[in-house]
Amino acid sequence: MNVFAAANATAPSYPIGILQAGQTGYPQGSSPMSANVTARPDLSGDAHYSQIEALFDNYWQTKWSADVSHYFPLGEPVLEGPAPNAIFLPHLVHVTLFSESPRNAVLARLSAVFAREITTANRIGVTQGQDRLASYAKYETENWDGFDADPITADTRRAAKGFLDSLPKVLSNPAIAPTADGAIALEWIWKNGNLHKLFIDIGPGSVWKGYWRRANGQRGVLNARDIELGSLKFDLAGLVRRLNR
Amino acid sequence: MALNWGDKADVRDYWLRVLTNEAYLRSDGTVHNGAFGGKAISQPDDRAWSLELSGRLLSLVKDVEAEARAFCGDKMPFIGVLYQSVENLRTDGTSPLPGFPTDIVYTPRAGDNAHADHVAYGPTAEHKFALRDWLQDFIQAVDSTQCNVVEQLRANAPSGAA
Repeated sequence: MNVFAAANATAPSYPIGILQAGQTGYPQGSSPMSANVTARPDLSGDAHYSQIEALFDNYWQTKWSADVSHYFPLGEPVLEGPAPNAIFLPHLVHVTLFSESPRNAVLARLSAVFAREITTANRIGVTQGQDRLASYAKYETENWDGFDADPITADTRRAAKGFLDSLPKVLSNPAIAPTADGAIALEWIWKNGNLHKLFIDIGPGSVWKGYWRRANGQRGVLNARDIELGSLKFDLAGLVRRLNR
Repeated sequence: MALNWGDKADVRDYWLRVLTNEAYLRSDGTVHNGAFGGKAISQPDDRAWSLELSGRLLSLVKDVEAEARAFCGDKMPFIGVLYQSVENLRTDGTSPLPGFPTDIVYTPRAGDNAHADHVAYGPTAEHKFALRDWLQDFIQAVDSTQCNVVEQLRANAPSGAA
């Protein structure tokens, strides 16, 4: 089923609201429910609707069917195992559903929202965190580079994925590479602006450190610190803002 | 004149390093700083220098592509070759980047008579990022199909004898 056709066919006739964060307008008598959606299927292929449906069913359906009067999300959906088509946007999307909404209608609306977001994400070159690190399991062995490199552990990959998923928009689409000490290196190089280079190494483990150089030659090191996903996006956005002054 | 272990490389020579990861060489020919990350730049205990990055001297390499492919074998992809002249990699530390003296020192190993380290005098682990930054700007690279570009540099390099 075409996702847009599905949305257009059903959305106007049902009391569904899918609102962005900060918006209001719940229909009278509805029970609003919110979910922070960070993982969503690839909508570029023909199978996108079924992927959304599977995601929805796997993580949300249990509560949905048990008690429609009070639906609570089961936490942030996470795709299990390698998901080569999964897309992780660098920001949360707050989706508000209503308990009386027919399941199919909700699915259609979710599809429409996701499709729009992913189209936007592709346009601005947002990276696919999970995709870009999926192949890094091959670096779990010693000496993967022929120069005595340390393995990149699953813990480091998880930390890097969380880091990538938490990047602010200004740091979308880093160039990613493994490093010989078992870390994962992110790199941004800007041609314009005061900040010229930003390097961030993630790992080994759940720590990161970095380095920056301004166009005027000023440079500095960001000492190693734990990855705090709760504040990372804001910390990095603030860092880039300050370095660009 | 033949080189001995610890000698500084001839200024006319070129320093090479095999690239074994596809993420290190971008389509525009630039190199990701991760190519020089972590243990790639090591901290030897018993050297006159404090940081070193392994590579080889062009003058002592008989066939750039063949030897790079032999190094990679069937366990690693042969992505390309990093290279730069000794002249450009030899610095006196007065420029802002890297900010410390660097050089190419001949350090042959068992099984690799062409081995040479790009070395830095004085910096500590905290300076590795600066070295990565500088190398990224200075190092040139070719992909595995363009080793002839490096071979052509032999016209300027000294004849190999160690």
